[in-house]
Order: sequence, then C-alpha cells, then structure tokens
Amino acid sequence: MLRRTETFRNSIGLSIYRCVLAALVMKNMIFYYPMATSMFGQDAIVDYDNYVGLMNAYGLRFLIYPFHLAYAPQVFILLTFVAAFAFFFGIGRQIVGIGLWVLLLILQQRNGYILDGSDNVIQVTLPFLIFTDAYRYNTYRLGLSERFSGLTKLTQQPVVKLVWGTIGRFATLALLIQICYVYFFTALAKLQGSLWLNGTATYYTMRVDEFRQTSWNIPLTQNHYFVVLSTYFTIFWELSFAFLIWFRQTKWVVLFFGILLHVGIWVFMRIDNFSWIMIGSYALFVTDRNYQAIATFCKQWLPKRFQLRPQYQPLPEEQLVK
Amino acid sequence: MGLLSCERDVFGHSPRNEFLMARHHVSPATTIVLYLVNGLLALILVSHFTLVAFSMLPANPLNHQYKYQLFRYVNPFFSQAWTLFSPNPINSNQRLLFKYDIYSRGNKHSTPWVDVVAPMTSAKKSSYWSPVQRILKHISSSTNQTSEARNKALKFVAEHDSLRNDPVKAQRFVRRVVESSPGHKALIEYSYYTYKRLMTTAKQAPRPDSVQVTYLISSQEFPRFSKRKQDYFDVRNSNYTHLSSFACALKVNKL
Repeated sequence: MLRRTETFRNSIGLSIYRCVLAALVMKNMIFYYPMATSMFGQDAIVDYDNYVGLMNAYGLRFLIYPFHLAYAPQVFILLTFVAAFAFFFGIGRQIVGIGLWVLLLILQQRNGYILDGSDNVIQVTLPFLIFTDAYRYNTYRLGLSERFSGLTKLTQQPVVKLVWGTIGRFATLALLIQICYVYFFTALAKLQGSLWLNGTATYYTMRVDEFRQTSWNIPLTQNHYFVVLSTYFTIFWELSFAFLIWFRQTKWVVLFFGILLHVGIWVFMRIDNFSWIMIGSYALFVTDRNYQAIATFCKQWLPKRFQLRPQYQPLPEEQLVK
Repeated sequence: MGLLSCERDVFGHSPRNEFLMARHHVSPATTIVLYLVNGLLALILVSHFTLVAFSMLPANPLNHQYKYQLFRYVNPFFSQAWTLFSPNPINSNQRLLFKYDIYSRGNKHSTPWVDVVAPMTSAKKSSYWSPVQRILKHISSSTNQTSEARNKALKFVAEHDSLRNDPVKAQRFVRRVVESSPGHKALIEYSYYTYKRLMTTAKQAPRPDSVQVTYLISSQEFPRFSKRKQDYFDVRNSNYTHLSSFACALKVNKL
C-alpha cells in the first residue's frame, strides 16, 4: 500500500506548483493574443493543413478547432487564459484542469514549432497534477457543490475518500518521477555529445547570439575554468537530481544548486519559462512540515507589527477581578 | 520541536487526517478493494514510466523493435523530448534571410536579402519579457528541421549509386525531400508573413502577377573554444556556411 508518508504531505508545494503552472500559461496567452492570427490562424506561420493532418493521425478529429475562421484563434487564446485563471484559483478543480490540458494539447498540435521545454513540462505534468491534493491553498469555491449534493455525499463516503486519496498519492509520485525524468534524460542525452564530454559546451551555449544575453557572457567564457567546471557541474547535477532528491540529507543541496543553475540560465541566456517552471516544480519536493519550519524561521525575523497575534491574550494580573 | 508537532499549519488550517480516521473503520471488503486499487495504480505507474523511458532512451534493440508501439503510446498525450542543448548545443549563429522576385506587368523586381532573425535577437536582448523568443524558437526549429532533412537526403544520395552517378536525378531527389519537410513548409509560410510586412513599408508597390521566394540559412561559426581569446565580434574570425533554397512560387491570392 502506498501510505501517506511525509513525502505525500506536500499539499502546499502542489498548490504552489499549480499556481506557477497556471501563471505561466496565462503569461503565454497574453503574449500570443496580439499575434494569434499569425501564429494559429488560417494563414499562420505553420500550415493549417499540417494541424488537421496531425489531429487526424492521432485520432483526435473530434478535437479539431476551427482556427481558420476569423477571430477563432483569439477566442481560443481567451478561453485558454480563462481556464488557466480558474486553475490558478482552484476554481472547478479537476474539471477545469482537464479542460486546460485539452486546450493546451490542441494548441501544441496547431503550432508545435513555437513551443519550448517549459510547454513540454506543463503538458506532461498537468495530467498528474490534476489528480493530486493541489487544491487546498489559494482555492476558491463557487458554491456549486450544494447543487450537486448527491455527488458531494458520494465523495464523503469513507471508501471513496480512501480510493481518491490513494489516486492522489500515486499521481503525486508520478509527478515527482516525471520531474526526475526531465533531468535524468537530458543528462543522458548530453553524455552522447562530444562538446559536453570535453567540457566546452557552456562556451558555445553562452556565446551563441540567440542566448548571449549579457555583456558578461564573452569575458566569462574566456575563462577556461568557468567553462569546464560549469559544463561538468551541469551534467553531474542533472544526473544526480533523480537519485539525491529523495533523501532528506541531500535534498536541500540539490534544490539549492538547481535554483542557482536555473537563475543563471535565466540571467545569462534569458530562457525564462523553462527556468520558472522547473524552479516551481521544486516546491513539490518540499513537504508541508518543511514549509511550516521555514515560515516559523522567517517569522522570527519579521518586525513585531507584522507577526501574527495570538487569538487569546490573558488579561494582566491587576485587571483580574479577585 | 514544538513547531513540528503543532496542531495547525502556517495558514491556520487543521491538518487533514480524514484518510487516517477513515482507515480505522474499514471493513475487510474495503481493505481488499484498497489493495486492488493500489496494485492497479502501481502497475499503471510502472508501465507508464517504463514505456516513456524506452521512448526516450538512446537507440537500443528494444526501442527499435517496438518503435511503432512506443510512438503510438506516447503521442500525443505523453510525448516528451528532453534534448535541452543536447546531445550537442547549438554552436553557431544562425540567420534566416528571404529574397523575393516579384513579377508585375512583365517587369521583374528583386528585393535585397531580408534578415528576419537579427532584429528579433536585438529585441530579445533589450526586453526581459518579450514574445519574440517564441518566434525565434519557431525559426530555429524550422531551419534545423530543414537542414536535417537536407543532410539526410544528401547522405542517402551518397549511399546509393543510382543517385550518386546521376547529378540531375540526385538534385531532383534532394529538392523533393526538402520541399516535403515540415520545416521547409514552415519557412515558406513565414515568408508570406515577411513579404506582407515588407510590402506595407514599400510605397506604391504594384500588385504582383507572381512572386518567388528564395531563403538562405546562414551559419556563422564564431571562434572555437581553442581560439576563445580572439575578438568575437570581428567577422574575419568567423567561418560562414550557407544553405540556399530553390526559388519557390508563392500563392498570389495569399499575399
């Protein structure tokens, strides 16, 4: 039996990841909206027939959206934005989550060329996230459950609760494994590349025009210590993530270097969405108990007026009626 | 220690222990159901990640034998490729240039080469939050796909005598392979977009009778690691290679 161990008490992390994922989808939709026709419309930069062909090949004809109609791409973008907004606030929970996943799947088939690693991470983690315990924080209820009282009663049954809890734990485990897969398989692919093996890959990635984001990139990559150490660090860290993240003793070191790596990638190469979604996914590996400890640690550094006041304050001795 | 055993979490909510509480009252039948559900989910989990792993592992006899089954399973719902700068990172500056031959009333007018990448790269550098990188991703994916298709066709020609010994036939074959590749189609679609943008800035442009586009994928190989002290911005220190397309006719009604 997959028991509710400490690893699976991570509803805060799941909620954070849900919010990060939804926020990134919203950001993407804001970017796409002004270019909706050029990216997804009839005469978009990718042929409309390609999309129809793909959907037919995958047996998803029933999901073909008429992007070729006037304003249809804009409507689709708005719909996806609304779904992501609702998912951010946990409205509609699993139903909205499934809807959002389908919308993103359709968009992916319409123009796969504009997508990057972050879209792939969202696409493969969302189906698991939907069924986890990710709706406990930053969640708003619309009061619809009263209308479906029969369904509410059913979900309150102990057996249903137990089965649903089990599904949630397996979905959480799948989500954690999926994140480990991202790093493990990219490291495995890097081990087949001569530039990664000879320790010079960082030199090229930081110098290529598309990713040369700061004036520091050239002087930094002139230093061979920086180039070789950063290249090997990337491979070793990515390889070890999948194994060391499961142990309490090594988890924090792995997460710290992960944040360092992704912030570095963002600053020097401006790969933003992928950096944010991966940093957001680290929230999944932090348990609720860890968050409580972090919150308590942070609270003691806050000025007194920002600290939470206790609900009950005893009266001073002199005011007590004897 | 007091923190770890607290009754309420940081947000003031009580920890939910309904699963634990419910488990105290389960009947033997429920226990069996739970074991079955656990077994089934464990089986699904292991099977799913095994199949996904085999779809991503480097070429081996097993994923070669079951490639169609693996492809059918992972596509489109679980398709993933974590080739983030791997196996080798991009190590040259790619440019995409378009040139249009416009035929109107018996006259031919050719535009100069229009670089579509350089302005977007500059725009990306000046803004932290810009949609430009999506377009750049589109262009780099299309150019890489086209170059790959061409290289595969050339390799095929080199390996087959009937094509290798007949340059005309070989050229026709390579052209057909490139023209049927999704990358080439995406580049041609993008050329419509660039053409429209060009024509909006060109004053009194006559309506064309026909338009042909040629694209050029230029690759600038900047100094290699062993020559890292050389001036990066001095073009004399770089090597240039070009991949030029055939002239392709654009549909006038789409312009």
